[in-house]
Amino acid sequence: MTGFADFVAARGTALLRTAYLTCGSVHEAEDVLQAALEKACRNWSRIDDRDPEPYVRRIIVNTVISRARRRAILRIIPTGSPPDRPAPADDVVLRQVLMDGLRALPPRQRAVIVLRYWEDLTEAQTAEILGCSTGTVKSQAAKAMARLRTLLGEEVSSAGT
Amino acid sequence: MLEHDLKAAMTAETAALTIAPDLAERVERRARRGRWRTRLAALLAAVLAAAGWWLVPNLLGTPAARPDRMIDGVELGHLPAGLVRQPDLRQAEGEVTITTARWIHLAGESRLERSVNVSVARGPIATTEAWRVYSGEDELDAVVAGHPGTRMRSPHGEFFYWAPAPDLAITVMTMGEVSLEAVVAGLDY
Repeated sequence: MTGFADFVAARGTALLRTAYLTCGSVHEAEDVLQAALEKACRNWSRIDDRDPEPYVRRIIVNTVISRARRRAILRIIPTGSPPDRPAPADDVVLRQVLMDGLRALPPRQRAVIVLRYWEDLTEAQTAEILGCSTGTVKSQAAKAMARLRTLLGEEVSSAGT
Repeated sequence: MLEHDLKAAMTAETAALTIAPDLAERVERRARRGRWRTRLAALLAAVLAAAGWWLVPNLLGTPAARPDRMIDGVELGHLPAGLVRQPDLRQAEGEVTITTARWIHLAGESRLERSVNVSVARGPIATTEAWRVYSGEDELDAVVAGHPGTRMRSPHGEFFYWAPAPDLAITVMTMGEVSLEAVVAGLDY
């Protein structure tokens, strides 16, 4: 199955990164990617004449959301660095705050943000992957961005005090 | 701009992530094993069906699944006495099939006193309107018998909806003196 191996070699890392950003855990991202690729591999004869990437991406995102729903991962992950870590540079602080904020989002909002701003998909493409309307994508993205802005604002306020 | 900062943060966060060099090989191996497992399971199922569905419980000493309590592969374990099954309702939305079974108990003058409704949706449920309506922008708000899902209460009864797998969603509705928790906990799928 040369086509499949070529596809994994070419796009596997990008898909792993999407999986990681959507779920927030390297271990789970690897697991979800492997499961999605297995499914694609079993159906390869049917999908290799099309671009298989959207198919695999859709499985990844929906698997992550489904798992998160089942486990009820809705807790806010604590932000901030351990006290013994040296003070990071400003851009590292910003990155930490944004990534903590991303992980703290509900799974669907997180998926919308990753697909829109990491994968650069359109609202329509994002809606198709998530099986919802473009209106829902817009509202979920707006809520997520508002939440991230609030988090950033809090960080700026606490840094200033 | 936040979008720009976010993309930069995501890029930096994932820069060190790469797949294992043997990932494709491992996946192909597992997929081959999975295909054989599926074929073997189908073969075994055919053999068992030919031998008669009663043979297995007799040999193993376990009770057979009760057909009057089966809803598209899901078995209702808890059913209060006196409830009578009504004809099933079958619907389809795209590739999703939904089977709804209903057990009712009528009091005097045909007044509905108690009921249990169980709907089983199979297929890519995330694409259905029902999924959007129930899970839309809401997140999980309840856990019933260990299942995170969506729960609603109305003057007429209680409703719980959850998706144990990407291609399976179950809805339970109870009315009257029927415990929603007991019905949900007793489902076997």
